[in-house]
Amino acid sequence: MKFCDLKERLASKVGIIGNIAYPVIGAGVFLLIWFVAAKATDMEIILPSPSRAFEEFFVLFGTKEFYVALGGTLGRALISFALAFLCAAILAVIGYLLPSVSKILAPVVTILRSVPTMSIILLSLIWLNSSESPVLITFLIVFPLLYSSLERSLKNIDGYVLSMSKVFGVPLMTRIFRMYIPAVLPDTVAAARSNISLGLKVMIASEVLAQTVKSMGVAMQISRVYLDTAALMGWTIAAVILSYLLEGAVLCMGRLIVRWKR
Amino acid sequence: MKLTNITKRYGEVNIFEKFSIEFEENKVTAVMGASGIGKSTLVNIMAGLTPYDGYIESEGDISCVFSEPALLPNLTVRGNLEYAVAHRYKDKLRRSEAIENVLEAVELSDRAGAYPAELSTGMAQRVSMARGFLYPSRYILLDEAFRGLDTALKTKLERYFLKLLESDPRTVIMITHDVNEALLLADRLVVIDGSPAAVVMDRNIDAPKESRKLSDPELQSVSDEFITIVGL
Repeated sequence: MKFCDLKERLASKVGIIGNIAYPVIGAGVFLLIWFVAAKATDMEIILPSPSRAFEEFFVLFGTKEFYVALGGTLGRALISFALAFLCAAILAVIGYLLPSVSKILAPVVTILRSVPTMSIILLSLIWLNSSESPVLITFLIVFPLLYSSLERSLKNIDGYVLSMSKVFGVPLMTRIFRMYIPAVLPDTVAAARSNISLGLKVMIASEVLAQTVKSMGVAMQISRVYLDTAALMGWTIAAVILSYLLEGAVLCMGRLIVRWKR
Repeated sequence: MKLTNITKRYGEVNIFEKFSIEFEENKVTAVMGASGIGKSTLVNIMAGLTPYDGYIESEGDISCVFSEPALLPNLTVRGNLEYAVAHRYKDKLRRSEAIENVLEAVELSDRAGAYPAELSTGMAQRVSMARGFLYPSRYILLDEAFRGLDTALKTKLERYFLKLLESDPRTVIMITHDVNEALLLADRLVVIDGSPAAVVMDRNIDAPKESRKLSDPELQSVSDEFITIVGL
């Protein structure tokens, strides 16, 4: 084996180990700081240790209520995300085809992006019931972000590729499936990945304020009322893992679909 | 292809006013002129990419080679060629054969499965050139197709162009800024100037393309005339 081959193999192995090691080190440092802080406060009601929080998480894991709350929150989050995605995709395409629609939508999207989240939450609590308002809130937070990303991707399609497709008379369906969809996919997957966890966070926050039954938000609120900080931490760990899994699922889907280099 | 009374305006700017020109069958015509004079607008008019007033008589389809390769990043070299011509070659076997032939002509058979990001600039432009010839068009528009390439790559691409043209003759309208490129590749050199643009020089170049040298007296004379016209 040549020396340069050996060097390349070693570099590749170091790269793989690094990909696993760095996140583990990061998580380890975080847990260490948490552990030290919990030891320093020495009051479980203020800050339980990581081991207590994880213990509580595993206790939750064995209860029926956990799955009911998780299912409720996850279902609502996915519904509002899917609605936001669908509306963003439809309006971005209409805006791309009819620039006047895009111009009309621009200030609406800007307003939605700059309205304080709390204003949206409080208004929707007035307008809707406790299980509908978290869906609307998450929709209103996620929609402008997805719309802007889709609109930007469509506008960024290479002008030469568009001209080439027109000159060569490429059929519309071929253009849609081979050019337009693949052109917007990479940025859309990236936007969906970051927005799905944001959507989950907003969903839980609005569930707390709306007192939505069968939800993680209300479960967290109950833990807070009983000053059961360890259980609150357990629910938080569950939310973090769920968010991580959702992001991972979007990433895997993206990797399956987007296989080309950019 | 015959363009008659073509009129095109961009706002207050009158690019063409009753502009007429005819392009001879199976010949390469180089169209030159200063930047912003309307050369690319002329290509866009012929390619149907921009609205205009006037008439264009043509008998057959048009393909284009742009200054950028215009390849889809999500498709391989073969996929990019398929994308542009699949609707014109319904028979899969014939299509596949045509793709193999054109890739062989530009010496890219071994890169058929590569994505554009895996190709060099010269390779990508060769794919674009191959696509222009693969499409069963009667006319090929070259819109500064050799721009931005270094001398070696440019010479190589020009050789591939002549090779493809020899095996599959087409009527080529070539927009360029480089007089040497026009002298080596074209059968006719047209220079447009003014606002609205008009033909200020129109010269045939008869020397056989495969043995042309820039030092040939005929090419020298065309070059001198060009320099006098554009006032260099």
